[in-house]
Amino acid sequence: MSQNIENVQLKGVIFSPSELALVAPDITLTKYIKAGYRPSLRRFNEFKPMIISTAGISRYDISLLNDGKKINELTTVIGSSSIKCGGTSTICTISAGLVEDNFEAVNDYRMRLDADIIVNNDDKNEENEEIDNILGGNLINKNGCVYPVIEIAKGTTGPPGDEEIGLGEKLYETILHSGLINREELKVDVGLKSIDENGNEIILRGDDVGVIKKKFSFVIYARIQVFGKTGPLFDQCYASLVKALSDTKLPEVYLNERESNLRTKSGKRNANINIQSYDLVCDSVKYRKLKLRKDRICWSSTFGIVDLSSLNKEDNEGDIDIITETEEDIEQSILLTDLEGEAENNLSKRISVLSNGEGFFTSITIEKGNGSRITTDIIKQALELSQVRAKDMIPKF
Amino acid sequence: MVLSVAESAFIYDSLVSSHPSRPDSRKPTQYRPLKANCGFLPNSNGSSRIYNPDGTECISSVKAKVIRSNNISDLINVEINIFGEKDNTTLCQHLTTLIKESLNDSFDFNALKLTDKYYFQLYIDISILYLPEDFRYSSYTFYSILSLISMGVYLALKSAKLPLLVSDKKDFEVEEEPTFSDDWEVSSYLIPRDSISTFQPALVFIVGIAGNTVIIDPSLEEEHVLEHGVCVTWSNSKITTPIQSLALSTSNNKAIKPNLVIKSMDLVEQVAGDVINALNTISEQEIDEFDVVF
Amino acid sequence: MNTVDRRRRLGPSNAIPLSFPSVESNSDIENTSVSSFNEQKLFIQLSNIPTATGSSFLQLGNNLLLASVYGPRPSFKRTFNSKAVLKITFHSSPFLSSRQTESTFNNNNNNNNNNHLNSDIDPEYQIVNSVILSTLETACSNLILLDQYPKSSIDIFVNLINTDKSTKFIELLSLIHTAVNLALIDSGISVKNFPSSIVSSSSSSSSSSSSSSSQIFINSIHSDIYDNDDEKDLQNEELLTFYIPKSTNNNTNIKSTLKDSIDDAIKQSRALRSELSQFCYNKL
Repeated sequence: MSQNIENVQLKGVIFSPSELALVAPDITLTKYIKAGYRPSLRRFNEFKPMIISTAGISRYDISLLNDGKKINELTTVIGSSSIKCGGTSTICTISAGLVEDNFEAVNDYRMRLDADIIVNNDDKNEENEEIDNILGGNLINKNGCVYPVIEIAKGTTGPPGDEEIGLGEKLYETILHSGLINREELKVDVGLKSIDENGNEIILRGDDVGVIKKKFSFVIYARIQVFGKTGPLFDQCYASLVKALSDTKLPEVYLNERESNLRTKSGKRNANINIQSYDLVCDSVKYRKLKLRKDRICWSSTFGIVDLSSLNKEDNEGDIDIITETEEDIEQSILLTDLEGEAENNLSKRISVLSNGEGFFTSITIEKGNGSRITTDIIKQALELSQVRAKDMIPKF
Repeated sequence: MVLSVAESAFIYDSLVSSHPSRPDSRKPTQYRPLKANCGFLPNSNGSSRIYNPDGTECISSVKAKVIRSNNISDLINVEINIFGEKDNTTLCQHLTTLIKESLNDSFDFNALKLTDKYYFQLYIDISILYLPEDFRYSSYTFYSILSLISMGVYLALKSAKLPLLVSDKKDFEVEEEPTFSDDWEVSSYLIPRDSISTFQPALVFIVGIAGNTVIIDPSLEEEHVLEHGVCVTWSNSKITTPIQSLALSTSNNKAIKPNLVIKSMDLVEQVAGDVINALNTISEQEIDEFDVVF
Repeated sequence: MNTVDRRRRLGPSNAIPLSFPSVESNSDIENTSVSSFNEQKLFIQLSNIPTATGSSFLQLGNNLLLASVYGPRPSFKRTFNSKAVLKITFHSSPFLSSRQTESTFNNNNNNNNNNHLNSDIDPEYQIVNSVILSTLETACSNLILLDQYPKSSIDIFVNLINTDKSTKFIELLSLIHTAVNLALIDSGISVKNFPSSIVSSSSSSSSSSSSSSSQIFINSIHSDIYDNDDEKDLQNEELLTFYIPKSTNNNTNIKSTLKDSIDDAIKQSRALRSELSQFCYNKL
């Protein structure tokens, strides 16, 4: 018996590449990277091609089929986009609501708190203004925002996951702080629909309308559906949101006068008039385009940083020559663009840059993650790459 | 109820044989005994309680409210509450849709019309008090309960009484809310009893199909082996919509042959008249008893 | 349900949804669309979601649908399951919600509580989630050989991305079933036979009024038995599910015309099936 035990030898387990990728994605990744490639067979700084298009499903999109010039009356979608990047596709639809300015989130203390801005309107002294300027001014009053809801198709049902919530939050923050949408742009010029002496419908605007004292703004909702997720999604979601916003058309809004007439006609005269009630109706045909601030349109690039140092020490057969150009530094960090696949998705060190392609950035996020420190070189490299990418991609919006 | 392979094979074989026999020796057209009474909820306009021998019990109540609307699709509201089930499950939602659809289809909305402007709005609340314990873990989809619910709603509607309007019927030019007599003695039935000219609310029948056999009112054991279910609506002595196929359980599903759809409708035509008569008798009897009590 | 979703930013709660009055459209377009529904060109793309086992994208006019099948995946829940558990989810864009009746679980977005608009909608066009789900559940449980996948679960998702006003609910229903059928075929999950779904509107020529048409929706497969005679072979069709909506006129007896309309539907269904199977065959 004892002999038998002595004879037992540990056998090496051999995995096929596809099995290894499943069992130990991180080992696969380092193996690939040592060979100078990534599991997706792209080079380290090679971006994925992205196909950007309008989805053509908004209200104002003229359907290509049969009845050529009809507006799709059913949806309240006013802007849409569809983006395909590798196997991942996103569909973004934009809709809107109307909100009375006085009651709106602008004055909601909690909302201000959310946006890191607390402004005391009553005594606005110089000191406060200074702080305002440091914080980027009264953002909520200047910049419009979008309320995004992200849905990632994972093949399961249930409440929104961490990633979905996080992405939504990040998109909201990004749009608000980048100032992509001017708040003034969302203000509604409410008209009054009426019938003139000749029986024609006319729409009164501006000073002609004495009745409307209340001011209204559009609230923009976005719904982004992601199918076939392979890596971090922020870049693609941001791109689809910007594309959809640039496609967005805001309807004309008017107060329906006929509605109030109906109320008074029946029953006793003036019995049921309710002056406070208004009926905001959108014109089913007329619209204006939502103008975005051109200089604030950015492209988002997320980079992952992979360390090879520690693994090199363990692994003697590692062929360092291929990857390291600077021999004296064993601690090698490599910047990867457009992360894809499970192993790359697990990288905790990230740099996310929003660049407008002209040397300006609206947001730079660096996640320290685990492992060695992030060097300035890497950050510089990331900023440069994102510039190049942005220059390339922004014209495609 | 979990049946062994042998048990379900036996039940299935006896159902599909040339002389089909059911586990409880019923005829294909025969219902299980039911108990029902109506008008027992004092603060609703109409109510009914109906229960099966297997313990499934359904309480329905009809409440009327005055609404200023002429939008007919708003007038009947149905809510189904199943003990232990959330109300957003497919089962609940679909039962609600089917009942509502069947009623909307058959209802004579003139019965609800009060004046030119005002209508009665009906709220039909249905509550299923008991579902067999192992429902969640079994293969049953429980659409078969639809038949019971539908009979319950029928009875509740038949027993519903509406108060007498004392204000003017023609109020197109007058701004006045309708007022009612507070004497229940003069109230009238929602569905008038003088049988000839009136409408009957819809009844939904569940027909089970196995092989070439069609059976009405399948019991739990039978559902387990049935291949397909069909829901057929009957109102005003003819078959109406919605007609739909349903999976009564997920254990032995098969597609259905077209001729069996026709066959199941024949079956409903055979039994519907008797069921209506039986239900009418119940609704008329029990109300009298209720009156005697008070 | 009046719960506020605090997990996501859904915008101010007092926002009024956009309401568009309907354009007085020239009615002749509306009428022709009914007949042309089955004649419109159908765009199909399969396997467009790499992470799903099978998926299909369908476009017919303004109707955009995406169906995806995940699984069979191991399911370790509860007791032993001798066959796969089927779960079907239907999502439709919240911005289309003016046509929907029931609140789905993702419906607590405060931007779509425009229920007051429902009243204007013709019931023929109303999207009823429960009917979609129950017919899908019936059809799929009849179609998939669930016995072959014990202790596992199969999830089917249908996304309605866009639709328009001239598509009737029942027509949409058949599109949804077609999308699911194709996604199932694409997934390679064992099914009994090649399914196809169709809406057949047979205008009963016997009755005087020309507008009386009874519609029937069927999703069907061919059974194992074949017959050389085409008419007799109609009996060999098996219906996975069927749905007969409210007919436009109440006077006709449904039963009397049912047999013809089922036969008619089966014929159309077979015509569609031969085209779809040809399409799938070419994809192989």
